[in-house]
Parts: sequence; structure tokens; C-alpha cells
Amino acid sequence: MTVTVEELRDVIAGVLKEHDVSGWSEDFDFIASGEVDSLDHASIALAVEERYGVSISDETIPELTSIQAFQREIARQKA
Amino acid sequence: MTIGIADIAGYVPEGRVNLEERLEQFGVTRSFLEEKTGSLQVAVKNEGQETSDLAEAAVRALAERQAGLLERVEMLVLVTQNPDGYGLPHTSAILHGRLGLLDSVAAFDVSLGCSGWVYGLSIAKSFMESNGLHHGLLVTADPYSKVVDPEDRNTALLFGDAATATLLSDDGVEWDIGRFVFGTDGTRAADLRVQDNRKLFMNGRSIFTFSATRVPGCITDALRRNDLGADQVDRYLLHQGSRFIVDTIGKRLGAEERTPFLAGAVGNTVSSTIPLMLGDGACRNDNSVVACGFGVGLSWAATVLRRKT
Repeated sequence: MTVTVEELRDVIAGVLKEHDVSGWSEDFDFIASGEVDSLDHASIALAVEERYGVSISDETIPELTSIQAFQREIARQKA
Repeated sequence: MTIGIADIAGYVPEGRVNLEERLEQFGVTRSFLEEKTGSLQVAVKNEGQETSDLAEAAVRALAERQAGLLERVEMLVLVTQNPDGYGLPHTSAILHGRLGLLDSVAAFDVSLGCSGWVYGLSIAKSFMESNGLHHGLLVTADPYSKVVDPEDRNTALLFGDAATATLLSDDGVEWDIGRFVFGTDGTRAADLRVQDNRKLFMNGRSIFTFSATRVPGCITDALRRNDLGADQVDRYLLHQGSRFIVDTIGKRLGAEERTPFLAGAVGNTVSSTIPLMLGDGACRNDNSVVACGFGVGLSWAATVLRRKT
């Protein structure tokens, strides 16, 4: 299963309705930059879980700080 | 006989923790408090105040406008998981003595958290109807300041202290109580608990995910069980866990404008959040209201309240 950066950006945009995520590159760290707080991060993880049928553990989520990181995690679980 | 809600009074202690003074300590911004937790301050009881003191204040506020209430009460149910002392005797018995209620009164505690008021409605209504009781009190008083670690960002920014007293009766009813939906996920019991050090632990992400995924379905089930369409609901009174949780569920219900967050001045007061809103007139112009409590357990419950015509 291949999930594109564009798809994931759309998923995140659906969560962060007040943010403009169109310019986020795939490796943009939205946590370190302060764009996303812990609650929005949990919302993004939930949206990804529901959209792609994956399960993101509490131990994994701190590492998922970019679109690319989510993309890799989905690919890993779907492999 | 049919038991419904006749009146509700609340008590919020005067003390406040000003969270704006702790932004740096917790590494959060003012906008985080406003938009996410929803509270710039939380209510806190005096150190010397016991759970029964908060409960008594709520009942006495109710008694001030319900003449002869204390002589009429036949049942006293207290919802708490932070009872007086070590929980023995049950705090409802202490409250019973403090209020000078008749010795024919049935008094007992119910150990539930954020779902407790909704569960309590069902317990009290069933108990009263099956025993032919006409006047009962459902009291919520669960001061989390007893167990919150002031240094713990996950909980210190959220929880406040308060108490409420709901008069249940077959006379002077304002709200008819519908059928209920209940649920429990004990596999996640450890995600919100008091630890061995007597301090509260909360896995915030787990509670958020639970709330966002369980509660909308619970509400849909409650609507179905009460033959009510979603478009007929005037207000969704959700447990006020945080603004973020309430807003998230409101979006998932497609009813953001009908799903208020009203706990900004007091914080998350556990089983008191829903009756505080209802008692403060949040639904004064409404006819059909969904009440849904959810949290520690993990536990959830919902029902429909219809204004008595």
C-alpha cells in the first residue's frame, strides 16, 4: 500500500483546519516548529489510524513528527 | 409514577488556580489554554474543605429555593470517587447527618467519575420508581484537587472542584428522563487512575482517542433508543473534559454549534460538569437535550432529556 505525501497532507489539513499546510514539505517537522501541539498531534494520529486502518502506539507517536514519518509508519504496518 | 428532574443547584468554591501564571512552568501558551484545555483558571476548594462540605453547599443552595426540601427527601445518592477521609463511612451518610435528613432516607454512594451524573440519573430514577419514592437528591462532588499533582501538566491544567445537587421528583418536573445507553472499556482502566503515590495519572492521548471514537456512537445509540432524530436535538450536553474534546466530538456529530463548552471558568469538574450546565440555564430555551458523560473506567453513559410540557 502506497500512501502519497499529497494524501497525507490532505488528511492533516482535514484536522488542522485553521492551518495552511499546503507548503509543508514531506520532512517538515511540525512538532519542533511549534506548528502542532500535543493535542493536534493526537488528532492527526487518530485521523491516520481511521483513514488507513493502522494502529499507532503511544511509544511510536513521538517519532511521527512529519508527513514522511507518518508515510513510513503506514508503509511499515501495511508491508 | 414517573420520576424526572425538578431542579438543579451547583456549588463552586471561591478559590481559583490562575493557570496564566503557570504558562512557562508547563511550557504552554495562553492560546493553548483558551483553545485546547478551554480554561484560564480552575476552581479549587480550600484545603480544609471535605467532599461532604462541597456536597452540603450544593444541597443547601437547592434547599434555599425548594421550601421544605430537607424534610421531603427520601433518597440521597452521592456520586464521588474522592470521598471524605478513607471512604468509610460512605460520604452520603456523613452528608445525611449534616443535613439532618429523616432516618427513613436511603443514602448511598456511587463510585463513578465523569459518567457518574448520567449513571446516577438512571440509578436514582429506577430506585425511586421501584420503591415509590417521591423526592430524591442526586449529588455530585468529586474534588480532584485531592489527587491532582500540581506539577503534572496533563492534569493540573484541566481539573477543577465543584458539586451539584439534582432534585428528582414526580412533582414539579422540568425535564423528563429518557432511556439510557451505557458502556465500559475496562481494558483501559489504567489510563486514568490514582497511582500508589495517591496522585492522578492520565494518559491524555488514550482518553482523547476514546472520547473521539466512543462518544459519537454512544450518542447515536441514545438517540435511536429514544426515537429522536439528530436534527431534533437542541443541545448536546457533553461532559466538559476539555474544550478540545468537546469541540472534536461536536465536529464528529456535525453539531458544533449545538455542543457548547461552558467550563472555562471552573475547569473539568468531573461528574458535576453536565448538571452545572443544566442548572445554570444552558438549555433554558431547549426542548430536547442529549446528556452524555464519559471518562474514568473507562465508562460512558448517555440519555435524552425532554422538557416537561
